[in-house]
Amino acid sequence: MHTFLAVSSLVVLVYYLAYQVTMLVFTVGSAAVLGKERMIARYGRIEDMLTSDLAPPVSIVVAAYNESAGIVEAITSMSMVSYPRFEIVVANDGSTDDTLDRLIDAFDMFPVPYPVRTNIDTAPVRQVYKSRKPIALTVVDKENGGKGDALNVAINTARYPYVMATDADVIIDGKALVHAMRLVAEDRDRVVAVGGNIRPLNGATVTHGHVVEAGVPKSLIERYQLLEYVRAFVATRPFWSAINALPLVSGAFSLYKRDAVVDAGGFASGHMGEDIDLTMRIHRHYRNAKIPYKIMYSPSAIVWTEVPTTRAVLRRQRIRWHRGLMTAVRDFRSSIFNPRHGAVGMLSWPTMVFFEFVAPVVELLGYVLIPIAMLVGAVDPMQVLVLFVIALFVGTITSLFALLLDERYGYFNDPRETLQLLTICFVENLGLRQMTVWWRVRAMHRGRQDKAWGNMERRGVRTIAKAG
Amino acid sequence: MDATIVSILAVTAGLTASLVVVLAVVKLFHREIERYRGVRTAYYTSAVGEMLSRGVLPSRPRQGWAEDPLFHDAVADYRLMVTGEDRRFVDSLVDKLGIGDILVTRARRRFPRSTRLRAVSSLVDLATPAHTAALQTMIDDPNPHVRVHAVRGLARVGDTGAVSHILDIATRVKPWEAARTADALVEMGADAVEPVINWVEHERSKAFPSVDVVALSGRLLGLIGDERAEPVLIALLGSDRPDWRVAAASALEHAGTDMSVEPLRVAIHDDDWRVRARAVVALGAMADDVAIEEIAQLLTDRQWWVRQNAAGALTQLPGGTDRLKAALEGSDHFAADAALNQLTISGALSERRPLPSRT
Repeated sequence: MHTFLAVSSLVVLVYYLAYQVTMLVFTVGSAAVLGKERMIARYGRIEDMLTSDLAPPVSIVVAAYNESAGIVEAITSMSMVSYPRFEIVVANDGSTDDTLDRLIDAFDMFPVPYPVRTNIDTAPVRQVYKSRKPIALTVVDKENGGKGDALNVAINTARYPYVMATDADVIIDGKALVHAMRLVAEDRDRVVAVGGNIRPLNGATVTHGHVVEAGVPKSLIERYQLLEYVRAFVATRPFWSAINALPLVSGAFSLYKRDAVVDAGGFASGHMGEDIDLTMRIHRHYRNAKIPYKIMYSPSAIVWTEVPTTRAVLRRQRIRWHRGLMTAVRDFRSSIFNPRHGAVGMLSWPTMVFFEFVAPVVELLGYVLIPIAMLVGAVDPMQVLVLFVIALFVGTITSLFALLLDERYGYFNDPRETLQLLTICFVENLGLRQMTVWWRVRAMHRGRQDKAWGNMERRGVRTIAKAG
Repeated sequence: MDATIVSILAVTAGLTASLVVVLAVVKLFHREIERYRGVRTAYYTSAVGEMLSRGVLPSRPRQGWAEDPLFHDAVADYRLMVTGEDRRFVDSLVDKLGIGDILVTRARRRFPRSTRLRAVSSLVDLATPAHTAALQTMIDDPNPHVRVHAVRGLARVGDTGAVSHILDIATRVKPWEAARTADALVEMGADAVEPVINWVEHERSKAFPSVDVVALSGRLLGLIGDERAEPVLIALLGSDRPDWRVAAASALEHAGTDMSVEPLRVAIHDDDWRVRARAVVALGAMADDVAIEEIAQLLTDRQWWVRQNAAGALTQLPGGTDRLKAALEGSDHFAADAALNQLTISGALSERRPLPSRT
């Protein structure tokens, strides 16, 4: 028993340390990628693309389900995106609130007998609406079928060769689309998807549908998420993108070649992680067909999204995310350490599986086994404590390094905000992290039971962000 | 306890503490730098504005200004805003301070990539014909972004002599760079038409022409929209290369006249659906109803885009809307879908009607 506890404790500690070191390595790798990206973003004059007639047109597709609180602000923000030619297609997935009515009122929509293509099978369309205002907006009202199904309807309705899928509760930075499309324009034959940089809207100042100043949110839960987003989008994805191993193009901003989505079968209906599922299916489709392709990430394509402000909503979100990941792990188990799937199969997908999916179980085991092992004298308490502290330090180093990389955006330079961010780097390990570990374990325990749409309570941009 | 573990603990703790200090200092520094940049930008903007309003160049210009990228940005902003006499004044300010020469020096290859890129990026807005030679050397720079900026600079100073060299380079670079090069040449306007036509003719005469760049040149001629390009575009439309035919059909939408109607009527029966789709748009843009029957027949084409474009073209032709309404009542559901879509977009469907019944 002593040996079992000693070995188990050691395995958990080594696992935890390996996880933190891996994240640190990705962060260092991302630093190199971001340097070049920053130079091009600053001096490459990509805004010239805005006046180019050669820029490919884009359809912005949005799935909306009970988004009454923020749908009008979100569409207004999208309509102000700087790009030569784009349209917005909103699929109302049988909302039970007044999402559709708010859209009809705000944008003077009227019903039209508009034909919708059937490239991807979807739930039935009830009615298509067009706007009388000078905005290329189409709203498709459809039977409820889940987020993936709603996005598929919007993609079927989209007219242009590139579709940008986004959520109905986001604010898209004015230049986000042009930054993402730059990557497409630079390699149109191979780039089939581009992900954007998602940032928490909480605490930001919003004026006329634009974020004019980022801010550190008030509550610890929101600050913790801010740090998580920075670690994920600034410190990890640039590296994965550089080696064409992005396992996930986030649903809040994902630009796809329309044909790639159709070829991969569209978004999965009833899937809680439809974005990760589609990204992996696109990888698999192109790898199996031996067609050269790239799935990229643009750190300059910034999208602001509302993050949960309460523990209950955050719990629901994390459970939903982890169940989505669980389904994806099951569906794409053949990709793990599969050399035919390139860097995705050999590096990023195994990382997702072993350090995202399995992590909560191992971490929880650690919280149970290590104290027992210390109590019964199976391990030297001091040695365990030191190893644990080392692992925490490595994690904090990763967070601090991520914040340093994030400095390229020039956010949060107020001394008080700096102090708040520095504090959260240490405080996150004192309960917040453990809380999410527990939720993720519970998500695994209860399996795939919920519907595809998460029931996140939206407070709307006006509430969540400061008015400018 | 193992000394190694203690050392690792010490290193990680030290690194954490260092990073905390570094982050705090960087954030503070960044804040001050941004504040300082804001103040300087405001100062330069007001200084240049005052010079411009008084029409007086500084008698003893401060050399520090000419070296400062923020001053370059302020001058560039004014240069892009003003025209005529005021623009000549800004040019003389650039000359007097030697800003162009400073930027040309910084754009030399011995400087790091970021310095070169920043310099040539400013030079695009501030270049005068005096910098033509320097810009011409920059279009051979190893960095693609520097090359693109150099082409834009040459386009802005109107150096038509460089067009053929630019297009030659475009044949050797990646498609995105060639596309941005083409964009820059569009900015040159009508002056670029003759050299581009000459280059296309020369390229076509080769045994192995650059298919992509000739197609791109065809498209850029269309974007410039000059009728002088029509003969060469018609020749491209009749070529055996689908990409050239697509580009020519697209370009004739903007540069086509009556001369193009017959070749386009042939093109709408092309084997390649992309050519059909573009040619029908071009015919619609000419608003000549001579081919209305043939266009109406394309409503039953097997390709979605051809049907949509044919319906779109019909909305622009006299009597075309009636054809579309007739297609709505017809038995072909594909034609009805296309007609319905375009009638909806064009607002021609005043009455609200249900979708045609489908099988």
